[in-house]
Amino acid sequence: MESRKKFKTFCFLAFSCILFLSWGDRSTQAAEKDYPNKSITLINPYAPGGGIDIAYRPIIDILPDYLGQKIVISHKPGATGSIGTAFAAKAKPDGYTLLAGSTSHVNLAPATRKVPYTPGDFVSVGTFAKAIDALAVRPDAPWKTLQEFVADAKKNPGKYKFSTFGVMGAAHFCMELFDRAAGIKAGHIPYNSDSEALTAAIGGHTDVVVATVQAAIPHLSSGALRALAVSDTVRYKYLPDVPTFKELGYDVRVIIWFGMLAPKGTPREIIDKLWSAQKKGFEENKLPAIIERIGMIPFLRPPEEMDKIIREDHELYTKAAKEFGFEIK
Amino acid sequence: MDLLHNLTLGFSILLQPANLFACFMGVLVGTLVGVLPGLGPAAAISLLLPTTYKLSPLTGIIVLAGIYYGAMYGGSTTSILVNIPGESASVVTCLDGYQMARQGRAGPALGISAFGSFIAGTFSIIALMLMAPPLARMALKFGPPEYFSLMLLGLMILSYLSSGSMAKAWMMAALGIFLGTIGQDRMVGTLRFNYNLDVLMDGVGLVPVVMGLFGIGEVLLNIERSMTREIFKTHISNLLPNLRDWAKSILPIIRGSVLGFLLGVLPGGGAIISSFASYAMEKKLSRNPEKFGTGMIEGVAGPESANNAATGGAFVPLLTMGIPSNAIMALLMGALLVHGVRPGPFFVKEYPDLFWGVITSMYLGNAMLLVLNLPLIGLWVKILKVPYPLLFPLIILFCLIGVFSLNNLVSDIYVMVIFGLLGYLMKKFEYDGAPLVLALVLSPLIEDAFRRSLLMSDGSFLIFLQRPISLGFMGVAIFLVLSNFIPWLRHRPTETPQE
Repeated sequence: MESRKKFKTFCFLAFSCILFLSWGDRSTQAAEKDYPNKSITLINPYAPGGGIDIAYRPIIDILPDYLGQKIVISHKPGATGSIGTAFAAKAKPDGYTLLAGSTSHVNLAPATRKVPYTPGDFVSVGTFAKAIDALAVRPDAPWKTLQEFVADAKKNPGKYKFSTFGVMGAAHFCMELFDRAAGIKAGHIPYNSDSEALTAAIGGHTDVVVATVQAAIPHLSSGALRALAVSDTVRYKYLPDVPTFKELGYDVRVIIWFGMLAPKGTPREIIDKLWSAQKKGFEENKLPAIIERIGMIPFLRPPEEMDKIIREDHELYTKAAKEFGFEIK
Repeated sequence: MDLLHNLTLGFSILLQPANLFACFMGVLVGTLVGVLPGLGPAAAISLLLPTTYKLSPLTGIIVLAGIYYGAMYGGSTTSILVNIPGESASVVTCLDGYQMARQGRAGPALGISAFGSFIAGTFSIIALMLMAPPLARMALKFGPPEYFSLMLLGLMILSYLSSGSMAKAWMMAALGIFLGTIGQDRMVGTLRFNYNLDVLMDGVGLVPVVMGLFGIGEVLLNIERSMTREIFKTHISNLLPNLRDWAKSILPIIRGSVLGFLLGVLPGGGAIISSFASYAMEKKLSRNPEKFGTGMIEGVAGPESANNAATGGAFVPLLTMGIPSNAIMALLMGALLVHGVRPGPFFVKEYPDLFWGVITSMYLGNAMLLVLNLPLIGLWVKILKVPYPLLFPLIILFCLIGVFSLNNLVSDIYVMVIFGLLGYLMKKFEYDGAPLVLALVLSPLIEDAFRRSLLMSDGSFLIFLQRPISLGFMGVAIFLVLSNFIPWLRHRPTETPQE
C-alpha cells in the first residue's frame, strides 16, 4: 500500500507538472510571425446598435477573410466613449485588442474634457471609411445658397438657430468653425441624436441643421430638407450639386474617420499585416461595396498618414475648443 | 381594396417557414426577457442584434420586433407575482397586480393582462396601418415647447398615482427629478453630481433604481414581516378572469389602447409614460378611486394595454419617416442600416414587402403571444406556492444577474442595492415609489425640452403659451392641479385612509 500511494503521488505531481508546463508561456517571440493565430477583439466604446457598430460592419464581415481569424466586437460603453477607449489604451500591444476608433472618442473627447488617455496612446492601423456632415435647411427657407444664409445671418446676429446631435460633438464643432469663418453668430440647440436634430429642422423648430450626411440623405432625397454645404474637402458623390464649405471660401473641414487603433508599442509587423488586409479588401472592392451600402464614404489611408491626420486633428480641435470655450467641467 | 392587397402581400411573405420561425423565436425570447427582471427588451435586442446580421432584413426585423412587444407581455408576470417589474414599463402593474395576487387572484390578473395586451396590440397595429402617415405628420409639429407642456402634464398626473398622502408623493417626485439630473448635462455638457465617477456620467440608470425600489425593497420588507406575513392564499380561485372582471376591464383596455398608441407615436413618449398615464386615467375616471392600490383590476387592464399599444405606436415614426422614437426603435433602425436599408419617408414605397411583412408579423406575433401566455398562467401561479424562504433568494439572485447583464458594470449592482434599502425604508414609512420612478423618467425629458424651448425663444417664457398645442397641454395641466384644491371639482379627497 505504501508504494502504491507513492506511485499515485508521483503520478499526480507529474501530471500537474505537465499541465503547468503546457499552460505556460505561449511563446511570444514567434507571435508576430504567425499573427493572427486567434481571434481579435475590437473594443467598441459605445452601447450596441450605435454608429460604431454600423460603421465597422465592413471590417467585421470582410476582414476575417484576409486575416484568417474572426474579429469579435466587445462593447464597453460609458462616459461617452471614454471608458472603452481608456481600456483599449491600456491593453497589451500584441495586436489582439484593438480599438474601433473614430473622431468623437479619439479626437474630440480629449479636446473637451479630461480623459485618462490621449490620441498619442494609440497607433493607427489604417483607416477605411469616413462620414461627413451636411448643413441643411427646409425647402421653404428663404436662402437658396449658403452665401444668402450668411448675408442674412450677418444682419440678424443670434436670430437663427441650428440643431445638432450632441453638444461639443463633430457637428457642433463644424457649425462653430463655420460661424467663425463666416463671421456670423447663430444659436445652438443640442439634441440627443441625428434623427432628432433633423426632425426638429423638418418640423420647423430650428432654422438650420448640421448632421451626418448618411443620416440626412433620406430627408434630402425626399425633399424634406435641402443641403447647402458639406464638410469635406471634396463634394459628396451622391450630392453632386452641394458645394463644400471650402469651395465657398470657408475654411471648414470636419470629417469623421473610422479606423482601428492599436495600443502604442504594437510591433510594426502586426500593424502592416492589418493594413495590408484592408488594402487587399479595397483592391478587390469587397470593403468599399459594403461601406457604400451602409451609407459611409470609402476612405483608405495608410497608418503613417492616419497617425499624422489624428495628430493634426487633435491640435485643431484642442485649439478650437479653447477658442470656443468648449470645455466639459 | 388597396389595403387588402397589401395585407395579402404581407402575409404571403410572412408565411414562409423562416419568417414564421423567426416570429415565434422573437416573441418567445421577448416573453422570457420580459419575465426576467432586469434584462429588458433594449438589452436583449442589443445582445441579439449581431445574430440577425446574417438573416435577411425582414427576418431580422421580425425577430427584433417580436422581442420588443413580447417583452411587454412577459413584463407583467413578475410584477403581478412578486412585485418586481420585469421591465420598466410594468412598474405600474405592480401597484394593483401584486395586490390582486396577494388576494389569490393572480390568475385573473395575469389573464386580463394577457388579453388586454392582445387587444391593445392588435388595435395598435390596425391604427399603425391606417393612420401612420397623418399621425407622423402631426408628430412633426411637436417641438420642444409642446414636449415640455406635455411632460409637465405628465408630471401632474403624479397626484393620481399615490394612494396615500399627496405631499409624500410630491416629495418622492422631487427626489426623482433630482436623481434624473445626475450625469452629464445634455445642453452644455457639464458633469453634475457625479463626484468624478465615470460610471455616474450617464446618470443613475432607470432599471437599477426600479429593481431596487420595487424588487429588493419588497423582498427586504417581506423578510422583516416573515413572522406575520400572510401566505398567499393558496386557494387560487380561478385561473382566468371571470365575467365581472371583463365587465370592469373592457373600458380600461380600450382607453389604454388609444392612449398608449398616441403616446407611443410621440418620439420620446413610450411605454413607461403611457402605462403611468393610463393608470392615472383609470383612477381619475373610476367610481372608487380610493380602492386603487388594493387590487383593482382596472389598474392592471389599463396600463398593460397601454404599454402594448405604445409599442405599436412607436413603430409609426420609424416606418413612416425614418425617425426612431425611442432607444429600441433606434436599435431596430441600426439593424436595418446594417443591411443597407435606410428607413425614411419613402420606406413604404421603396420597401413594401419589408413594411407589410413587419406589420403582418406583428399580428401573428400578438396571436402567438396570447397562445403562449395563457397556458403558462397556471405554471406561474404555482410559483407563488413556493415557500417564501426558498423564493426570495432566487428573486434576489435574478435581480442581481439581471441588473448586471445590462452593462456589465458592478456599479449598477450598487445602485440597485442602495435603492433597495431606500425602497425598504420608503415602504416602512409609507412613501410611494411610483411617483419617484415617473419623475425619474420625465426629468431629463422635461429639462431638455424646457431648455431647448428657451434657446428657441431667446429666453422668453411666453413661447409655451404662444404655440397652440403647448397652450392646450398647459391648460389641462393647470386645470388638473387646481382640481385638487377646489372642492366642487374634486372627485375624491386628497388624503385617503391607509390600508
